Amino acid sequence: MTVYLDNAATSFPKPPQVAKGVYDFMINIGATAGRGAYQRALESDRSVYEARKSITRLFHYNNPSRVIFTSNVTESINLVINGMTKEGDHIVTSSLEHNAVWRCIKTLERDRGVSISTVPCTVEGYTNAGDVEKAIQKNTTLIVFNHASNVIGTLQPIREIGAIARKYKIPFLVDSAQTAGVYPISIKEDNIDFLAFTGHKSLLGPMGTGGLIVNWDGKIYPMKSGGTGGDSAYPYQPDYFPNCLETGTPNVAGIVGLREGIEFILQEGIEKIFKKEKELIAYTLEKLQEIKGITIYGPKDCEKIIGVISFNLKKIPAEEVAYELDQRYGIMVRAGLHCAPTIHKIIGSNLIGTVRIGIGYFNEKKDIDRLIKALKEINT
Amino acid sequence: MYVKDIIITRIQPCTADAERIRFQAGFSRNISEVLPYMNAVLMDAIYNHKIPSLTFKKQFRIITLYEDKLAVSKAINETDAYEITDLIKGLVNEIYEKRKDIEPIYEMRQKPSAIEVYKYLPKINCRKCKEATCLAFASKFLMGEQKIQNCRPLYEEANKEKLETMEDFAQMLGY
Repeated sequence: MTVYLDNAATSFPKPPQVAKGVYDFMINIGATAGRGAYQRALESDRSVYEARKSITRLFHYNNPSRVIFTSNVTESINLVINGMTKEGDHIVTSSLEHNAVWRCIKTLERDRGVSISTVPCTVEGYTNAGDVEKAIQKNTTLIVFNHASNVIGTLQPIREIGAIARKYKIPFLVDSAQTAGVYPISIKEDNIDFLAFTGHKSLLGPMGTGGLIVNWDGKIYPMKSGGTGGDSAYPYQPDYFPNCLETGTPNVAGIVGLREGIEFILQEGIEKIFKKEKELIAYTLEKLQEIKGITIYGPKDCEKIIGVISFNLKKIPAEEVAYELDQRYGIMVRAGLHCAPTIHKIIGSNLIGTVRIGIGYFNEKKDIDRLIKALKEINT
Repeated sequence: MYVKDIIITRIQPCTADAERIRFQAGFSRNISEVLPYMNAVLMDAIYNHKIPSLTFKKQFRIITLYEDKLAVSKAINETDAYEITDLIKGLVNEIYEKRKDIEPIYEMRQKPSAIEVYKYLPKINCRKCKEATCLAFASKFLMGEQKIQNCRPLYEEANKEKLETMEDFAQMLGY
């Protein structure tokens, strides 16, 4: 019996209908979406459209054509940042970014003369939205924020930051890698211009799926040019959505699986999912504190974080803890910097990394009990 | 639910404008009884009780509903096509639900005149369509006795925009 606690990287298990959806598509449809001349190709088209609709329902948006499918949240973030940033632009971002954002903007800083302002946060990962306003300059063209840290789980005040972005008419990109599917998100209420999401975490879909909602009317240069299924004689990428930013044969099987994951979430209700995870986070935090000499990073408050908890044991390196948990107890957690170097400097773990637990909807208290028991044994 | 589903059966490029698409779709049931009610609600629709068919516009798109299928021209892309079918499904079901409060209209509210159609013909009286004049072709076209395809000069590059309008007329008239 194993315990999977790495849901912050990829959720596991998936609802059975996700794999069934992928399988059914591959066995019974299996045709390319996009201007098909036969019924099965049209069914493939429809599957993609229905997935767009499910996504708009989840994020309270009303325009399926503005849902762009990508292979993951990293691609979505790169698409926006690379597609709209030019030389001399200024970007405002958080201190808790994943490398999906951080490397992307640092590369633009090096290669395109873009400047970056990093808004400070506390050791618990709290950002003051007012500090975002202070960081805005005349040439600020983008505000990009992680919705919740993938290291310490701290939720960021995106609604307030979005309101500031609206006030200054600066587009606002939200990286929802850790929140989409588990925490309520509304494009309108949260003042989001770009919502980048990934399919394989809390949306419960397959790896290799993700997307972007574009609630902004400015120009984004496509990362890729190529076939869109129609208007083939035109030598450039079309300017209408979603084809302007989507090209080549899409991952329809994956998209069908993603839709099944989202439909599961819609059926369960995101409030119910969030409540269950919150209870489990509270239980985990309480139990972890029973371990002698443990350092738990972040707010240690289930109201302030999503299901990501980082910690270190006093005498045993993070990598070693993760290895022991896996080899001796069959418990899967992650160790290291988790592709987010800046927050580790703030919490003081940049040289040692952390052990990270990623709690998912299918985890139960007994999984946490097994983890705690194992940690106590490793700690002795 | 009155109409449970609308299944797209064919997507093609628009004849005159390759950037746009036209598509056909089938209703999960016969909707002929709803069309006169829709004719009453949609003020700019063209209803033909004989066919029956109902044509209306959604921005630049031209939508024609028949008893068991629909045809749309000038849609943007596949996503747009599916959004339009969702919209039509919602509209038909809503009007069906409210039909007791609507006075149905069985008459055609408007039909283009022969002169109006004539404006979009090549006006060269070439007789390739076997009619003596383009105006005669226009009259026969309105009666459903002539097809656009018989007007060969319409398919020349210079007449591309005219052909597009003539196709709109044909769809509106249910031909």
